[in-house]
Amino acid sequence: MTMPLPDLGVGVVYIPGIGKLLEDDGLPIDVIEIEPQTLWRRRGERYVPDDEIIGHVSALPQRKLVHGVGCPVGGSVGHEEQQVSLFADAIRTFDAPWASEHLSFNRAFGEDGVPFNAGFLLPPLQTRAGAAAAAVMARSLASRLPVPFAVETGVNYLRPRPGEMSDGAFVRAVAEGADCGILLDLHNVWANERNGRQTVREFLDEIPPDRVWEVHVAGGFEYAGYWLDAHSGVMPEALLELAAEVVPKLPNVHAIIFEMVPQALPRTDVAILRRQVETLRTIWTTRGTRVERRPANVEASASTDDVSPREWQDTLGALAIGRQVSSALADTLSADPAVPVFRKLVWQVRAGMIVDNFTFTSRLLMLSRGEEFLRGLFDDFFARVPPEFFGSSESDTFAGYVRDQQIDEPVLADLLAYEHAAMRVQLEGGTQVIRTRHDPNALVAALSEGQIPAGVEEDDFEIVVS
Amino acid sequence: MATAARTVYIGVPKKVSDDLKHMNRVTEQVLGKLGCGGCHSGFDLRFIDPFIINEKGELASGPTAG
Repeated sequence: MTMPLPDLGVGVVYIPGIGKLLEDDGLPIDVIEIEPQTLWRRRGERYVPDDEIIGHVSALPQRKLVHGVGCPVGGSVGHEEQQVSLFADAIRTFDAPWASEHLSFNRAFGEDGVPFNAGFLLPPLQTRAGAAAAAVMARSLASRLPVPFAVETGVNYLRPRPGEMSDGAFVRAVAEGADCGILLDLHNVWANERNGRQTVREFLDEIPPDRVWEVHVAGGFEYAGYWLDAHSGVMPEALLELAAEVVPKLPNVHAIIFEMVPQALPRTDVAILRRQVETLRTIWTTRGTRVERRPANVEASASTDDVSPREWQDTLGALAIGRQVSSALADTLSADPAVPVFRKLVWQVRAGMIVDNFTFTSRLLMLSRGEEFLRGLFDDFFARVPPEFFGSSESDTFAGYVRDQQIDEPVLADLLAYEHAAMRVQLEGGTQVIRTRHDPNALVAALSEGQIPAGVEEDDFEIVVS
Repeated sequence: MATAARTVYIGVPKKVSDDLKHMNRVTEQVLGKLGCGGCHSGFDLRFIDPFIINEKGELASGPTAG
């Protein structure tokens, strides 16, 4: 599938601080890939683009690509209209020549028929029915976007299931069914092989190379026996070697993008990153130089359709957030050691968002009540409330939950009220006024030193946060 | 007789510095807090192990990237 797309070169996913990487550290970057959802804010039921940050990103001189992280095409819960509309807006704003989304799912239906967030991008059912369903979703999303669309090959920590399609055959079936491009995430495919799934080379033999428009690379780390697609820093050298082997065989690749989460930036050795980016630039020059014309290996496209895509999605989604499910499929999935890993990752993502917003509240509980108490609080909250996509929404709900618990800690209510107000100001601007019995400055000062606030003056305070 | 509450003004960091090169810390903080961090295809690794806050009450730094 040849599309008239421009050659963009080597890029990075947009992360805050990228200006420093590009200007001070001289990272040679041609293109910046934007995950548009990270530039939106949640206000009530609406998503609101943060025009200030979008303006800064737009001002960067590199070409832009748009890579969605909120409208994956591997599930059957319909995309939110607002998200699709804003996704298309972002493509226009950044003048992206194509766009992509994950071949995964992140929402499922509960037993009551109400959709819930799974808190993580999860692997779809790899059967012919699953591929057909994903192709329908991909076509639907693509039809709403102003540019050509590609699906990203996902990471899958589950063990291969008897009777399922191979990873490569599944991607091929979806891409051909949707008549779309492929974003080949080499780190995902490499992680899948390390974690016991199809080998990279078998995978590459099964996907149509002419549909690969873009390649992703990233770093990860080992956890609980799995190589995680954590985007946690520089690339393993073996992945660079793999990229050097694969990219020449791709006739239509138009960009190679390095992915990293913002939290990894402060501890990244920029000298190593620069060297790796320069290696990617060398690899980029070899694109399409060793294209092999070969018949597609599609033998692995048969599958046993013993469960439906909907049953798979709803069961795995529920298990990932710790819900109890009774079914043969649930029993099978629960026996997979990856399911506890999914749960752990969902837990960590949620806890991370809350601790980011309520750092001192969390620190107070940690210091005064101990780790087990804080863990237990999160456990109980997470068991009651499904995940939210946005940190602010997750934190809003958590604040209400903590207030309801009426925990007997003298300064807890004031500290939480202050941090909640500060979060709202950062989210919405303007001013928040709260009433407390303690000056939050004194509470934060003590906790910043790792001390439980003691002997802090009590009075009636009006706190104006702006 | 009720006494008036003491008023304390607290400023939170502006979202974005005017200087792109100095966006790092503040914007990083705000994006992580408010944005769609949970649906990054990667994820926040600070909280894998050790737990969120160490025995000194400091944010845990997480494992070394690989």
